Amino acid sequence: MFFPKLWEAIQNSPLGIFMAESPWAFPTFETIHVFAIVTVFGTIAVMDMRMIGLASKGRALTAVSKDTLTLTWTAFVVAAISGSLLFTGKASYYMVNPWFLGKMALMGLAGINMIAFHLIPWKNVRTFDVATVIPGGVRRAGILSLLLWIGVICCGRMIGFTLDKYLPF
Amino acid sequence: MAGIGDTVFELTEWIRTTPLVDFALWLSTKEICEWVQSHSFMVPVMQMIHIFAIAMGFGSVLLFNLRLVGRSGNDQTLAQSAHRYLPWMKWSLLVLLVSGLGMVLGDPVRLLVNPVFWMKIALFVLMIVVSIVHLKTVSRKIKTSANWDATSGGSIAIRSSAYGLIILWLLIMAGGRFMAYAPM
Repeated sequence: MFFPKLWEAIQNSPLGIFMAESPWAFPTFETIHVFAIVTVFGTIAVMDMRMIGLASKGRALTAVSKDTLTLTWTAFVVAAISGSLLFTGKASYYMVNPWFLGKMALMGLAGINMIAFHLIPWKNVRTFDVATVIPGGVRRAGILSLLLWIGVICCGRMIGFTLDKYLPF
Repeated sequence: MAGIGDTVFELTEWIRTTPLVDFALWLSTKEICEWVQSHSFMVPVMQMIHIFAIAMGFGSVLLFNLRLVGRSGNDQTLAQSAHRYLPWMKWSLLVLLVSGLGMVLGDPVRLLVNPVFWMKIALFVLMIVVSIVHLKTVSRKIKTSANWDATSGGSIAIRSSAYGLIILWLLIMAGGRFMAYAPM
């Protein structure tokens, strides 16, 4: 584990202790986290399926993007904040949990995929915005995004089942 | 908070006096329950499927109803938005029911003798009824006039049921998460 002292300090901070001991804090922020992740995935999937050519075929990519982007990002910020709060209560347990680490890694890859997509194919979006044939790079970015986010959610669900199976000491 | 806690506690006490307890115990001895319980991957996998179905269903409900109130996707007509999202709402509900039933089989007593579970089911039934009335009204309006739009018509009933449905979905999700913490 990297920086074991840091995670212990977070866990023993007043916030960490509050998150671990309050009977309502964890379920409440967990519920908010669920609201946020289903919104992130639900809206990302709409955009990805348009990029792959599975749905919204008649609509411009830029129109679908405009619909979903604000919702996706707002929900992502809510997910990150609520997720961080959940993390503080047992920080060092999360940091040795392979599902948690896997989830963070997959989110990193999803982020890289998104940045690469916006830096490369999106620059020429005008040329294929309403085209019936979608460029291969766009389709691949959509498939990859969908698979990575499916992985993020699956890993996330496994954390709850395994948090006491991997001990930080 | 204390008020809600007391209500949930009283509801638990009441559920314990109903034949539901015997039914849940009887169900838990059935072969199918034992099969689900003996495969440790079954419950997490069904929970994942359940979450994906919620994401697809809620995403569709959100985008369609935001279009209905004119807050998103205004480049497409209501009919186009309905054509895109309605099938996803219907199919996600089917997947939710099947995966939900699978989770009940995985732990019948903890779920069926659980007040929060029944609150969630009540909200789910309400959501289905509201959805049917809501969508029937909208499609009737579209059929009578292809250019009908709630944003210009300003029908308060339709606009409030659009927001109401989004809130109902959130409450149902909250029920799903909180039933894991309900008193037994």
